[in-house]
Amino acid sequence: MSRLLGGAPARVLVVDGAAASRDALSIHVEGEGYLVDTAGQGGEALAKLRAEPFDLVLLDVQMPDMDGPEFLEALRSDTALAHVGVIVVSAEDDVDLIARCLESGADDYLPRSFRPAILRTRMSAALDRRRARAAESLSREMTVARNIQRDFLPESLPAAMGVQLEAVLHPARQVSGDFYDAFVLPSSGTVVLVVGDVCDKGLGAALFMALFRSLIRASADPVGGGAIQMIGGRRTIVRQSLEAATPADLLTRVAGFTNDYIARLHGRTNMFATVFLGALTPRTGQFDYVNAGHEPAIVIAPDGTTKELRPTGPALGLLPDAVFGAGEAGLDPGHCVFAFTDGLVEARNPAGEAFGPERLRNVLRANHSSASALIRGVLDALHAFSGQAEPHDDVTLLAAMRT
Amino acid sequence: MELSVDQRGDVSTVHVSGSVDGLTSESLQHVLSSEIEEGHHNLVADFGQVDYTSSAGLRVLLATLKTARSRGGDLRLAGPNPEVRKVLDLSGFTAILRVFTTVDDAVASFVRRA
Repeated sequence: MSRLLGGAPARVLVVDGAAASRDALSIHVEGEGYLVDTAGQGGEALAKLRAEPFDLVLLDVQMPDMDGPEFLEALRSDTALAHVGVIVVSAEDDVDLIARCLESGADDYLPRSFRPAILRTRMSAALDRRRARAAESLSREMTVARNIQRDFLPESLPAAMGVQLEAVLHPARQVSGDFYDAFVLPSSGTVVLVVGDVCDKGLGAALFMALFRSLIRASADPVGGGAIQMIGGRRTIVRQSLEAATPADLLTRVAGFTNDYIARLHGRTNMFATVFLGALTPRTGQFDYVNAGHEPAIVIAPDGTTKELRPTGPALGLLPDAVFGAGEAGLDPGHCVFAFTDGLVEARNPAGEAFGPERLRNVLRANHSSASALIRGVLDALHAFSGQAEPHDDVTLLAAMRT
Repeated sequence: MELSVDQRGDVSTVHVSGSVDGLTSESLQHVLSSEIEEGHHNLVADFGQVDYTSSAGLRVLLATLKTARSRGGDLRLAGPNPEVRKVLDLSGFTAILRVFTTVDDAVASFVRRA
């Protein structure tokens, strides 16, 4: 019977100085459905373990070049090999040596005169233990990553006169490639809103989420006036732009700078992000935006009519020197703007249908009394629609209402 | 997702069917990279039978077109359905990637240049 580990048969290295017993053991192990490789010496075995991934070692307690405890010391001191399980195979009377092997990190031992059923159970148990330990360690790491990633989202949304803000991010996995941000530019009181979606999912997307968010925030609102000046030939003197530029100029410069930074310095990874950047001037209701390849944000008027804020440039990071335009919309009191990631409109119900833009517009029209009513309304509709279906993508929603 | 490759002149066409997502995009990347490694730098991705592509699929297209262009070739896309076309338009991919209605048109576009 095949023992599956992560979809593929586990790989077992049989280490034995004597060719005859090595071959006999290999045949048994192969008969259990595992993939087998062999080594006749401890040094050779360590080299194979470092070169290729193995799940389990069946170890002769006395090899020509080293004994079991020596081998185990070498194995366990290499962090890259710490996850490999080891079952020591020895004659019944090597009690001291067996004890030293177990102390040095062997998982179990087998007498040389084993029965196939015993071999099967011991191997399966050792692999299960190793797998559980690996899963536990990965889960701990992911929890750390998730907690750190939370710090790349605003702790709270800024309170600005004349604007209500509400946002939510539901990751599909422990970490997410979505992000949002909202901050007030101290020089002008302009509220900058950001919703982004890094391509693909999981840890890689999460690393780039942190980078995109930081580049956008730092180039729009440099901490203490710190200036980021030259990236790959494009002059980006951020502090000057803050003092002199209109919100539309600022957003196009932020998009251009972030695009060039990613495309030039991280071009090899081919990562990109679709990002919606908005700048609301609460005093006048002027709303400028740059939509970098992102789902159109939606403006909802008090009478329920909607307007899409469509892309004004490509996704950030595709190729250097992309050109970004800016769009504008007037937000009179009572107007809302709603930005989101495609995890919302692409969410599926158990029948496989997508949530879709039409359903979204209807929900927005029915819930635009406040920013929080919009977010709550959309979340309720999404949950009612998806039911028990597993979310396949991160979902991020951000709403702003001019009061 | 299913993949097959054919060669017409110096143009390799990779026919893709099904969904290109985070799980399947790796095999698409693998096939496209192998074509480039074998010296086939003029590539057509036939998306005529693709019903959905996630951003992971777009990332594969981006990686392939950059590598192909760096070696004097190109990646061109044929036959995306309206949904896929919409994703390409929104994200700005249609500005950097030439898209054709049919595989024949996409293949012919290489021949005309040569």
